[in-house]
Amino acid sequence: MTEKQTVNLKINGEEVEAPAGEMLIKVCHDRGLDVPFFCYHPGLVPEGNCRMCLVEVAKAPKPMPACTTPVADGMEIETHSGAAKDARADVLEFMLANHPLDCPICDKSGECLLQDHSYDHGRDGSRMVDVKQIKPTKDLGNGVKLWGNRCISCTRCVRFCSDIAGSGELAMVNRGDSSVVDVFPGYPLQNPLSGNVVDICPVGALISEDFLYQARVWYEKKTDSVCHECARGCNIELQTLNNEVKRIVARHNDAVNDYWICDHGRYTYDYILGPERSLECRLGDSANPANAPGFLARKLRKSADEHGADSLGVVVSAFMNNEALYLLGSLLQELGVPAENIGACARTDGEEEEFKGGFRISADRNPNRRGVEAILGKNAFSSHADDLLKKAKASGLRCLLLVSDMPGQPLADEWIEALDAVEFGLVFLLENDSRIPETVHLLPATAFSERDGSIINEDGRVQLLRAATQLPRGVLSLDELLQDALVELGARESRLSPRGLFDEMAGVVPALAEIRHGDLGEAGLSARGGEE
Amino acid sequence: MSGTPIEIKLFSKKAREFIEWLLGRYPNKQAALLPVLRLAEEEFGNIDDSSVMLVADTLDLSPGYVWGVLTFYTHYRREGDGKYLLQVCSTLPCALRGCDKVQRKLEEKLGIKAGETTEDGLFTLKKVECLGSCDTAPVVQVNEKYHENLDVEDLDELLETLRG
Amino acid sequence: MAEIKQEKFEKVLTKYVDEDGSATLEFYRGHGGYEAAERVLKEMKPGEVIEAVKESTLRGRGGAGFPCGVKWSFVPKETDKPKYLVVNADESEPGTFKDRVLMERDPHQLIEGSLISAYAIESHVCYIYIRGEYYDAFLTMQKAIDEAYEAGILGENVLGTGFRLDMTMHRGAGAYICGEETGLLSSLEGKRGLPKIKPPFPAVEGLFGCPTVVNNVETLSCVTHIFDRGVDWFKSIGPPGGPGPKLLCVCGHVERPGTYEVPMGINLLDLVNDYAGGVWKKRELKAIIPGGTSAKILTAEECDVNMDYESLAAKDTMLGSGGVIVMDEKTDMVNALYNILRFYAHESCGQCTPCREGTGWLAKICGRILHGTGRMEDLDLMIDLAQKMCGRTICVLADAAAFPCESIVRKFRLEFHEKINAGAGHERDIHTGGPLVQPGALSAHNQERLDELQGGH
Repeated sequence: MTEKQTVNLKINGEEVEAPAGEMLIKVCHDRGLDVPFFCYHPGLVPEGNCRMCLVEVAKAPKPMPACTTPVADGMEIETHSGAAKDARADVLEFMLANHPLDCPICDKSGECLLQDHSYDHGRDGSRMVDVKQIKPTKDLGNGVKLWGNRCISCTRCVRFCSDIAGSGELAMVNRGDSSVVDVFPGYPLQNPLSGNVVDICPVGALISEDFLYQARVWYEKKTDSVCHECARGCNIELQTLNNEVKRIVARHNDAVNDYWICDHGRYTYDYILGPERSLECRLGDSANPANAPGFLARKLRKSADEHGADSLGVVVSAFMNNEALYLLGSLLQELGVPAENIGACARTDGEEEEFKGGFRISADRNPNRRGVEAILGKNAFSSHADDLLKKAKASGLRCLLLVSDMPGQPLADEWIEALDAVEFGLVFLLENDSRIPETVHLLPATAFSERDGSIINEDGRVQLLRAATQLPRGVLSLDELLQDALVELGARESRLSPRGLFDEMAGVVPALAEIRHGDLGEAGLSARGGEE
Repeated sequence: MSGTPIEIKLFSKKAREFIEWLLGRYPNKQAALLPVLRLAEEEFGNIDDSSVMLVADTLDLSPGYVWGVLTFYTHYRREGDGKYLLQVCSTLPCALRGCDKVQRKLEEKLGIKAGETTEDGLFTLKKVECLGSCDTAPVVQVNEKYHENLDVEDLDELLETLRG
Repeated sequence: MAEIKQEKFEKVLTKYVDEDGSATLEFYRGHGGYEAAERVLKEMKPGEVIEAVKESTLRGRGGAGFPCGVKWSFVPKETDKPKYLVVNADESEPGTFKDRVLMERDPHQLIEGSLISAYAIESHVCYIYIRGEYYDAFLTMQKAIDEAYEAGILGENVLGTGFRLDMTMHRGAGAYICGEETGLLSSLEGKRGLPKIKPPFPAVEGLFGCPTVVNNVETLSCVTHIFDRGVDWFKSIGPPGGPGPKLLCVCGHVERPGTYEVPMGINLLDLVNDYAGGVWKKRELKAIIPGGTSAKILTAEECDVNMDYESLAAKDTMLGSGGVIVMDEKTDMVNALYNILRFYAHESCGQCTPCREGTGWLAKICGRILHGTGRMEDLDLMIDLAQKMCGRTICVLADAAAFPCESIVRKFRLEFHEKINAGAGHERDIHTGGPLVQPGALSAHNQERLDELQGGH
């Protein structure tokens, strides 16, 4: 006999059909019902210890925790009855009994579940006049600090370290109201996913040193984007204040990274407005970036006319977004430059890491290798690049455009040397590079947080980036610059919006066929030929 | 993070043989944690940081995990405990029959408060909960042995015997 | 008054505990030991054993009083998971010390009962979880188990019947919560002794996720005699619905504290006066806690009650673990409650919010009252917090703390009033450390400020 797939139950008087075996809390949340919680997390095994999700169940002797109660046929539940509301208010009173009034100095303020639930479900005032429990404040390792007094023993962080990261550094220690999370002396938090425990801590017990006292969250602007530190393309949220990135946190995507990101991706953003950021514009006699499109168009056209289209070469990077790659390809196509003259460079591989809960860090440290392959062909990285270099050495190139926008990895020496051998050399540069000759033209490259566009991860998933920070003064969006250059060349009427640009690109690139910008949403979509 | 390197400890051959036997009694290694902690307690006299690491290593558990389990339980000898652990039962049935007096007298005689150890490392005084000997209250458990029907007058003799 | 005759009750469970060598296999066999088990294994089917225990209406002696046979019947018959029998020898309920007697003096009685029980639920692995402090009992049990293995009573071929049973002693390490059935299972699994969410219940999903039955030492010892002397014999002792011989632990302010084997249903006052020598030092009785500190207290006037599950439940308390704690007229009830609340605060595992925070909070409030800085509103606060802790947690430790709190404050309220009033004038304002003022008035500090501000007028 096959097991039943769905069950029928009543929630707040309404008949509901739900998948058999699913937890009540998920069924309620899926229907938009506010069943509050602390220890429950959809990415972790539920424990039911906070008691905040208690709901009234008919015929049950006491309220049941929704996160550990599977739905059953004939169940009748009230999520907002007097009994359920009382249970929540009472649990909150207990939870606040020993919790310090740290809100004014606590980073979590504004995104704290305890604050939110107290406001929504708690009672006014406190009856606790006794001395509160004192627990240690200490470093746990990897830039994670513990304010023990604030810990509510939900064990989310413990479960994360043991089940997802697999390293088990964190544990609840002691018993009763002396319980607190801690590490074994000499064995601090060390795993490459450690920053996630700060994301998931429902209160301000676990704090990131990186973000400590940097910004009040309600002033921040929050923008969806994709991490650029490896080919996984984990979904992130960039949080900015006054146009500066203050923090990167994980964004949920079941198809890519669940609820997690690695520490490297989380903490790598200082370079965006760092001291090495190149803002120099060197366009012949002019230092005015407004001249860039025209300058580029004229110079390239001139070189092609005088020396033949075959004398132009371009090296793109696997860091660039699809639209920029597409436009550069279009520009060169317009000038008749053969496809083989577009090469690509990539960041060197790192170590592949796989974790207990299934999270992976890719060995490929390039966010858009698949984009380059889809738009410029698989050979861009190999034969195109090699042949271009040979051509340059043999003085067969007159015009060379290089994109050096990979943080922490400057262009290989061979390409710098190649610049010496050409008449017209231009580098889109992210980070200062003293090797580049004075005669070479420069335009500042954009950082990923400044881009609106799309990239393709190693599984073939197309995901959207959104600009979180404004371009620094003097920096042009590469997509806009290239479109303007195409307008100058008469190949295009005007600029398109990011949406229009994507759709135009998708109409031309086979891997993106049938995908529209509007389909991508927050979670992206699998490209044709993708592995999903 | 501790600056002092943690000393590496090893179980004796006999202990390892016992652990082998023990692991055969449970379907996984983790279940043997409490008995193996007892073994470390017996073998090394108490459970200190290096014992935690040894136990963790022996059972393929993280040191953090073993630490969390160890600190939950109160009946393991820990680093700093004296040669004699004087555990004075203080729950209601013993309280009704004068365990406070016994505790205060012990504090007086040893010159320490509950939770502390004498300078010479001989005695640690602990206040513990119901030892399950309520009909012979007041009761003090010295290491593993119950000393029942302890009156204040008996304490001198007890301490003398222990001192040897 | 009870219908049970007040004649000397023929002891069964503790029949031999005072005799030399009672713990040895030789002694046990010499007195007919293991004959019942052999009969059961050779002549009865497991299902029949369960039915017999069900019929006997044996109820758990650990504290919950759940019908034993019914619990066994919850174990699924069809399953390829191993089934476990776990003996709960964690005995940590204050006022309880009966299992210790059984294990130290008649270990084979427990082993035989466990054998029959394991056979009934078709389990081949039995763990005895014994509290860490019971070292002598542990040694005795281990020796008895070794004897049993040697004699072919445990192991591959139990009593030549082909039944296989392995028994392992497992020592706890100082945690009352490991006496809670699922807390025990967590501890056995090598974890912090945290109780598990129920449902699923251990009989279906327990130790290592497999069907498990957890039974108390005394309960399993009763099983031995049910099959030695018969179901009818068992049912003839005490009231229907909860019969059998019962070990009651009398302690506190009595002349002769001790473990007494009596018929279920004996009158509490008879127990105290006829068996335990009455209240000590010729003092008056003030109160009795009848079932370990988790049971609600009975004032002296309420103590004329039979010691059985139903009768005590009818008086809004419980038989619980059978730990009878007697308090005389000089007992300071505030101190007694503080002692109890401190116990629960110390033993709370810390998993769920109401218990973790509530037990500590209650202890602190009571401590304040005891030490002279209590307030009148603290009494209703304690009762309210206690009530809010009940029914909201994973296990019933919170309830176990709430019951004595609510019952003692309510029944001895005047004593609490006196303590609070005695402290008045001497107690301190918790926030300023200065003299306490009536609620509503300004604190001394604020009064000063106000005077300053108004001084200019």
